[in-house]
Formats: sequence, structure tokens, C-alpha cells
Amino acid sequence: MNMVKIPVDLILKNIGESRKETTSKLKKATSVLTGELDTGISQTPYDVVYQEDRVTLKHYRCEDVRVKTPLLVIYALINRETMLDLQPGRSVVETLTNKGVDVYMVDWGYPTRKDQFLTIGDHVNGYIHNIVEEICKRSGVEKVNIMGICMGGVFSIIYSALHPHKVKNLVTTVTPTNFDTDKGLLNIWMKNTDAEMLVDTYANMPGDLMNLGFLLMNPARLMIDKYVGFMQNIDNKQFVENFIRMEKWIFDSPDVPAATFKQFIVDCFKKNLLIQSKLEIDGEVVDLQKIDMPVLNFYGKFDHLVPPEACETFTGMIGSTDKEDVCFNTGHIGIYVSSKYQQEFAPKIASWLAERDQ
Amino acid sequence: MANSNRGSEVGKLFESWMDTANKFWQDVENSRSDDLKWGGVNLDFGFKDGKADEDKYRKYRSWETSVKNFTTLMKILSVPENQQAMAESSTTFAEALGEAFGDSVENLLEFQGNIIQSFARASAHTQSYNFDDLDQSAFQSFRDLYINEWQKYLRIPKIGLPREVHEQFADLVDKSNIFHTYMAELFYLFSLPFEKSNYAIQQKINAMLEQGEMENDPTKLYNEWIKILEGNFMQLMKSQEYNNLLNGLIRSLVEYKAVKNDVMSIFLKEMQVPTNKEMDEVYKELYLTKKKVKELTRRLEKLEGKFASQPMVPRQKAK
Repeated sequence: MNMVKIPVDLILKNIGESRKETTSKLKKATSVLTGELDTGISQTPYDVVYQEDRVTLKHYRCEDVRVKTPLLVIYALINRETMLDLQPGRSVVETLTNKGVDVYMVDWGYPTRKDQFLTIGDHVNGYIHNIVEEICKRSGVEKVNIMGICMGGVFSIIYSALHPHKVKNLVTTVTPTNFDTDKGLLNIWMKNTDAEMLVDTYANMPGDLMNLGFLLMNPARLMIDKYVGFMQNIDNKQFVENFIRMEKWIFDSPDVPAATFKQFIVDCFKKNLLIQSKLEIDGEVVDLQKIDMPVLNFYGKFDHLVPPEACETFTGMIGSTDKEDVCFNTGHIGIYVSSKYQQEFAPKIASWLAERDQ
Repeated sequence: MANSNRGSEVGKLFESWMDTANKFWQDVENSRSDDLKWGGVNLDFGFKDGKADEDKYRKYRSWETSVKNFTTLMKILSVPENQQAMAESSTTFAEALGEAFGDSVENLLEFQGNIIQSFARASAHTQSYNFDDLDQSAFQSFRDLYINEWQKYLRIPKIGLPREVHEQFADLVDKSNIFHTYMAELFYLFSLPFEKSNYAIQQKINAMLEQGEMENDPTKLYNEWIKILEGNFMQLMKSQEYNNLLNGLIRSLVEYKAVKNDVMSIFLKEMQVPTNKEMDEVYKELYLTKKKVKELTRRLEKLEGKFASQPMVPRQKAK
């Protein structure tokens, strides 16, 4: 048997050095954590201009509107729209308003048990349609620009197909349309399980349960490494502030109305009806060929929730001839919050809308 | 032969016990009309002067009736033919009991065998990033044993006025047991990526030590470990075994939660608090009414717009 040579002297030296380093780090961390921290989110000024049930419409203040057609941002029912306005300097809505875009954003609020019967149709033909009418009335326009995010992108597509005369331009971001793929864990799980049954007993789909599911997609990174990283940077005030902001956003998860959740899982994930133009909403078929307005479609190459395969088929199935796919080398959230894509994502949308604002 | 000898011995023993017991209870019955002394105090039950019909002697009367009934039963049993039948049935009963438990014991042994085999398989380390040969049979065996052997006792038909309540509680215990076996299995599966990653990193450290190249920076080792762990989790989450388990877990959770709600509603009803089911009916009515009102409002606005766009025609007076 070989004798193992262990550099004991080196190990002891390292332990001594790291002990000093750790003590100094802990002192700094204590002062950071007990000091004043700026962890506020959603700080870009806005006014609530419309309210229906739990749903409100935010209108962001813009001093110099250069794109005449207002932009309605439709966020998903999962997590909150505050992700688009995490902090000054790292905010999609701030960049858009600075570029002269008149931004409205839907805040879906927090569904309660009484909202469990609301279907996708109630959201699209009800809330979204009423909001579009309200914006048209306020701005004196016939059509609006729509930007959809993830599940909100699916709602935007459905709305644009059912009410094409109300949509001037459509921007979809990380929006799944083709659910027949085994690239993402979400697709695999939804196909192999009866997750829709959960709402039979929970009424609405609990946000925390969904969040747990998202964490379990990558427990090594999201439940261990993330917090190891936090501990390593605990003495860095800016890092701590950004970290807390993200934690605030990510664990702020409203429940999803039961009927909507069930319909989304069965009709989209299991039957993949949307991309085949077979999805029926309130008795009307969602025909993607009716989407004849200009379309800009963003997705992330490393998106583990909505993989590129789920997004890239869409533009090939619509009636529009003015369409563009943009794939960024980032993940599901990186498009909106990473410093790198702050310089590319929102500015691209603003210039694309401005070019089509005649 | 040995069985019949043992049977007759049991019969004799039973016969002599029956005689003694019969005599004892007859003495008890005969002594009821005599004055009883308890610690030097005369106990007058009032039977001599006809007070026994009074209400205050009710308890004693009830006891006396029970003794009488019991003595009668003993007398019937002490008839030689009945004693013979009892002795025979005691052997039959033991046999029946043995047969009834035989299957359960066999299943228990099979379960034990499966457990031992699965521990043997689990102890043989599978390779990193390979979840094709997962061994969850221990949990499956336990579930099978529970469903085949124990579940049936919880499903014995309930009777009497509180039948429904008993049924719901038994159902709650049953669903909870099944749900928790799935949870235990899930925790076991989650432990596997850690086991594999720790093993892989341990191998790496051993290799480095053998070459005398120990890594100075623990962060590098951690990064390597987390990368292996991530890979192992990814493989696990995609595996059919995990997906099957997830589906079983969801289904059992739904069933468990439904029964839990039913049991909870018993207490809520008792406290005059509306149950979720009752509130859901109200919410549904509210939802449908709101939808109808919105639709009617929309139609009304449309009609109003139509009339507003038409020129006003003065109505002619009737002649």
C-alpha cells in the first residue's frame, strides 16, 4: 500500500489564514446587515389608472413620449410584474420610458379563493380586453402595442389572435407556444404527472407550491449554491442589497386561479393546442394565422423553464410577414435583470416599436 | 393423534374450570337474599321488605340481573354436550386463527426479504450520473404490504350513528399513510444525488492524495462538488422513476388533502363555521352572476350607443 503524503503544514497554514479572513468578513457582514439597506423594488413612478376586481393597471410616468402608440405589458400570473422594475438602473420599464415609450403594465394582484373559477378566457377577453379599451380611450388611439412575458406572452398571443384589430405590434418574450418538447424539466413533469389535479383540493394553485417546484428544478444551484454565494459576499453591501431584492421578488408568488391553471396545463402542456391553432377560448378557436401585425419574439438560449424549442416555432406559424426572432445567450430571468441585457433588450424593443409607429 | 390427545386434555381442563365457576356464581346468586356484612356493617339491600322496587336500589337490581343472566349462561355451558362442543371449537378457533394470520406472516416475511435484498442492492454504489438502476423497491414493498395487509382493517365497514365520521377518520389515516410512504421515497431519492456526488468527490480527493497533490483552495473542490451534484440532480429529475414517483406523490397528496378537508369540515360544522365546500358554492354563484352582469352591461351599452346614433323621432299622439 502506498503511503499517502499529506501537506499538513500547508493545511494548517491555510486554516490560520482563513480564520483571520473569516473574522474580518464577519465583522464587516455584521455592519452591512445591521446597517441601512436599500432593498426596495418597483421604484419607477407610476399611477394606477384602472382597476377591475383584483386587477390594476399601472401607467408609468413619461415626460417625453416619442412612441405614440402606448405599450401594454402583460406579465405572467406566476410571480409578480415587479421583476421588470427591480431597481433604478436595472429596470426594463425605466429604460423603456427613458426611450420615450408610453408604458402601461397589468398588475394581476393576488387571487383569492373566490377567483378560482376565472378561466384564461376571463383574463384575455375580460380583464385584458377591458384594459386595452381603457388605454385606447385615454390615449385616443384605436390600437395598442402589446408586450407579453412568459405565460403573459401566451395571453398576449391569444388576445392578438382573437382581437387583431386592437393590436398594432406584438412583442413576445420567453413565451412558450410549442409545448411538445422534452428539453425543459417543466415540460417533462407536466406531461408525466397529473399536476392539474392539485387545484381540485387547493382551489387555486398555491404560489409557494409552484415556487417549490421551480426550486426543485435545480436544487444544487437554487437551494445550496445561491446561499453559499450569499455567504461568500455577505460583507458586500451592494451584493446583499441586490440579493435581497431578488429574494423579495422571487418569493412573492401569488396563487394562480384554479380554472386557468388547469386549462393551461391540459390544453397547452398536455395537448399542445396553441401552436396547432386548435386552442379554444370562450368557444372561439385561437387561429395563429390571424396574427397579422408585426411580431418580435425574444427567448433565452439557456432558459431552463421555457427552452428555445418551446419559443422558436411560433413566428413560423403566424400570418404576419413582419416578424423577427431574437435569441439571447442567457436564461429565463437574465433577459430582464442581467446588467448585460439591460443594454440590449429594452433598447431593442423601443427602437423596433419606434420604427413601426406610423 | 397428538392433536386429539391435546384436545381431550383441554376439554378436561375446561370441564373442571366450568364446574368451579358455575358453583361460585350460583353461591353469589343464592347469597343475594341473605343479609350481607361488609367490614362489620350490615348491608340492607331491601329485598326482604320489598323495597327493591324503589328507584334507589336500581343499580343493585341491575347487578343482580346481570349475575342471574351470567349464571344461566354458565349452567347452559356446563351441560356435558355443550362442554364437548366448546372444547372442540377451542381447537378449531386456534386453527382458524393460525390460518388467518398465516398469510400475513408470509407477506411480512416476503417484505422482510425484499427489504434485505434492496439494502444489499443499495449498498452497492451506482455510478455518477446514472439513475437508470434506482432501487426504490423497499418503499414499494412497504406500500404493497400496507395495501394488502393493513389497509383492509381501516376499510372494515363502519356501523351505527357515527358511521360516517368513523369512516372519514379511517380514510384520513389510510390516505395519510400512503402519502407519507411517497414522501419518504421522495426524500430517499433526493439523498441519492448527494451520495453519488460525495462519493465522486471523495474518489477525486483520494486520487489527489495518492499523487501528493492536495488542492489548497477548498472553493475549487466545492465548485467541482456542486457541479457534479447539479448534474446528478438533473439526471434524477429527468428519470422515469422520479416522474412516476412525482405523479404518485401528487395523486396521494390530492387524496389525503381531500379527506383532511372532509374531516376538518366536521369540526367546522360543529362550530357553525362555513366549510370551503359551502363557500365555493357561493363563490361560484358570485362568479356566474358577475359574468352575467358584465355581459348584460356590455349589451346595454351597445344598445345605448345604437339608439344614441339614431335621430330622435317625435312620438305621435294617439287620436
